Amino acid sequence: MRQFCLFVLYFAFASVQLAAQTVADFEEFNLPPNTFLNNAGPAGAFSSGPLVLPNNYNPQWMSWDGWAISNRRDTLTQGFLNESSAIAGGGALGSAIYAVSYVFNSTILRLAPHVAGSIVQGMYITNNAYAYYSMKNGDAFAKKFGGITGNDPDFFLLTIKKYLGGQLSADSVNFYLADYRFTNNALDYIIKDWTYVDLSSLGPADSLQFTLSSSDVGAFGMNTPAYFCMDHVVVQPVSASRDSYKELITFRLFPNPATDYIVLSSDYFSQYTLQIAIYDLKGKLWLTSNQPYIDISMLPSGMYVAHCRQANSYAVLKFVVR
Amino acid sequence: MIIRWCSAWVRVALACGLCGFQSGFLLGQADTLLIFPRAEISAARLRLEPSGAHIVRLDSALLASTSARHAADLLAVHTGAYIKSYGLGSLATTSVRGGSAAHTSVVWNGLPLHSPMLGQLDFSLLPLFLADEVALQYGGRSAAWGSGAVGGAFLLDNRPHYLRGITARVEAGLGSFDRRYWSAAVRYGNGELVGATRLLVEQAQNDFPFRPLPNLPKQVRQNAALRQIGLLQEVYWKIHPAQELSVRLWRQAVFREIPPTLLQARSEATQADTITRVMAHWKLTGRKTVWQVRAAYFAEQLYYRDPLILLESPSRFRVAIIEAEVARALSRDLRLQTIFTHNRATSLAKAYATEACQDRSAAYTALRWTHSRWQAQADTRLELADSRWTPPTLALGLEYNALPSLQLRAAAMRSYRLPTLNDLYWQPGGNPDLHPESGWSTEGGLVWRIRSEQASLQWISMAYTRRIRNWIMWARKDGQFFFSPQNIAEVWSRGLELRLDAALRYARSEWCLSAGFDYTRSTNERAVASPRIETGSQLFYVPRYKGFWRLSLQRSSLAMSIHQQLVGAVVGLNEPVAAFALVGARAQWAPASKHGAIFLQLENALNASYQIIERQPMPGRHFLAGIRLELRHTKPIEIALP
Repeated sequence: MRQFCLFVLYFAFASVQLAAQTVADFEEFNLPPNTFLNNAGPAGAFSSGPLVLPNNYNPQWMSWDGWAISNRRDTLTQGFLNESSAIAGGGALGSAIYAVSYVFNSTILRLAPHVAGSIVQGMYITNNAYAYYSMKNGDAFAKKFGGITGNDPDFFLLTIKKYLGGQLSADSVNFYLADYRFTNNALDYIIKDWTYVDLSSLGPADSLQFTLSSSDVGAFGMNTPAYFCMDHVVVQPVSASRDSYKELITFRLFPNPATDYIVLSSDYFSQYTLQIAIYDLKGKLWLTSNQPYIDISMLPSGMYVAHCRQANSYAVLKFVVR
Repeated sequence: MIIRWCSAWVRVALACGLCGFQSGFLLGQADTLLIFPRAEISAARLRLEPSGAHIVRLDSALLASTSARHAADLLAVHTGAYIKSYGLGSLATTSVRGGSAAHTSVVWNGLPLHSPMLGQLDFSLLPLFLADEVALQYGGRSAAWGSGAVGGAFLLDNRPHYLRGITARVEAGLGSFDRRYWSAAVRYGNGELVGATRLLVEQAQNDFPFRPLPNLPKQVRQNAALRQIGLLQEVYWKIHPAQELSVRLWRQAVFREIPPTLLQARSEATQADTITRVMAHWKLTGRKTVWQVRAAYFAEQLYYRDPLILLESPSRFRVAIIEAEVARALSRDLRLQTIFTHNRATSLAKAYATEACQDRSAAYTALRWTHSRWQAQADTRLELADSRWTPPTLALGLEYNALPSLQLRAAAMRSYRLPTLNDLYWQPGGNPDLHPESGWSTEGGLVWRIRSEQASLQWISMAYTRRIRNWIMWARKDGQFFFSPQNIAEVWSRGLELRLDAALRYARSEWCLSAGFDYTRSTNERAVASPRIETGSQLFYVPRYKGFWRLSLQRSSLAMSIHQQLVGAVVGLNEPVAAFALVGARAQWAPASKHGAIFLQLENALNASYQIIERQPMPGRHFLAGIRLELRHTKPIEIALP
């Protein structure tokens, strides 16, 4: 069975060949320590690389929805006063800054005009501390997931769709921020680490729509706090003709699946410094390298993600270690 | 004259001082014979006993014999009011005639007590020990009591009980879940000046066992402890046989832990309430006219803390009230009562930008006509709230004694509720453009009474209907991510109330039976998207059925009673809450000397597993045992008023 799965994965990722990518990791926000930026000002949106993150701030009530930017790392405090921290502590892939979304009905993530119509390859997602502890322990309004017996088939689901040309797609990517629907309760989980969500299947998009749904719903709507956190959004332009992406670089990774080593190749290895970081799907950093030949013999079997940066290009490549 | 006044004030001061130092007693009935002129009695009670109304009066005798110790328990056991209790010692609010918690006014000696921030009061914070009489007026009483008296009004009163001498009472109790209390009251006077001090100390762990589901092991309720101390100091001074001045001070401090829900791993939240209520009351009784002035200052602080989520939420309000009243017997058949009142409320909470303030002025007039078998009453009220007139409020009541044993009643009234300060100023969401809720209600019924030397029987049937428009509901507007109060709902409440009271004296025994059944249909007449409400759906936490009965036996020194309440299923915010039935019993033995009593009471005797609020477990079988000692050294007095 394991071999079969690896075989399928092999075909899924065997021909990894990505055009140059750009990433939004929000690090340019240069926030003072322990800062939560939930007011985008008159612009009504934060901009980060290829992304525009709408923000709706009410100065009279100091309330907000949409997107906020945070570098808070408080993973212990429960309750709504800790809406600003990712439960993973800091940003994805060891970074400091990340985005927090409070979803009212839906939250929109727009691609900047110069990359509109591009493909969002994927992003790292995790719970915020408020939602995480609300599901884990319950609170005065929301239930502890699993219920009294632990058997309740609870879930907290993030659904991502795309807009292209003003049309909302029917296709979606579902990502369970918590899933207690397993017959075996030992498999129940609440996402606590940054987890990569592959959105490439959505194809070209002008913007993404995020909605949250939960099994814990009452007359006043969803009881589970409607938050999630996002980081390291990878966007791949569909056209190489765009001015800002003239230096199109193609990355290749092989062999895949791999056992002892992998090789990364690109057109410009000799000209620009290559930076490679290898993470597992939980966001744990295993290796860094600036050489195309990488020894992976010490990696346990499983799926990994190689983050490749060269010049202004960026790519995320998945591979399997057998 | 000046010397006499000074002397009188010295006596007041002495009385206050003495009362302050005397702890360890409680009220006793004074051996007082008051001879009041008829004009005063009938004129002053137009607001307290409106014609055509359904009123349940629970006097001091019942309060002394009931198992209830707080207003919430009392209303649950003895009336058709539905009590939304979160558990022993926890928040308890009411629903009367299908109204919400903010639709029951609470009135203390004529002045409203409810929080201007919430428009409601926690009935678990009303110890019966601090009241001499309580009554529940069913139906819209906004004309009489102002904003909020839509479903009914709960009245707490203290009585002077002029005496010469001293009475004292000490009571101590011990119950399940580490419940302990003691109370003491002393009343003493010289016939003209009476001081009374009541002190209550109560604590409980409330760590009762419960089974979250029938097939799961028992758990113990956590973080549910209660500690409270209450003091009521009263001074009554009969300045002149026709003139009386009284001052009351009510202080109460309550600390409660807030237990977790069934679906919450744990809770460390606590709530501390500090209550100060001061009231002065001057009354002049003439041959045909009674003049009264009341002034009050109410201040409450609530401090909610939850260390688990680093939340500290202090809030407070202050209310100052001045009220002038004239009641006059215009003729043999006609009584008039007029009241002018001004109420200023201020409050501050973290969620307010600045201190919120509300000024309200109102004029109330009641006219009662009594003739032969007929009695009719008209009440009107005009109120100006923050420079905005509320709709003129009118109430009409009619009683007709068709037979000596049969009385027919009918009433129609308008009632209203002003937006609370939270509705107006809470951030986010506060909506200063809200309109008052208002609507008309009508009711009618009959009272059938028969009485003989050995037995009495009373049967009451009442039916009512009420429509409230501009019902304020916290809801989401389109495109708005937070809830805010809006005048979006319309609620139609209608129902039937049946009451039976019977007493039988037989072979040195006295049997009493009280029973009641309420059918309440209270439906939303407009659909709302968020919260999700459909047209025709029953309001949250309003049961369609409630029944209750109490059978008591008094024989010689022994008094026993058994009671039951049956509450139908309700719609909760997340899931339905099942119907439940609770049985309780009480036995009391008092020696012939009447110098005390011992009692034992049992609640939830059949150990029913139930919830009132979803996800909040309630205790199984539990008991309370107590002892009461009384001391009385009084001489009869007679006060003949002009």
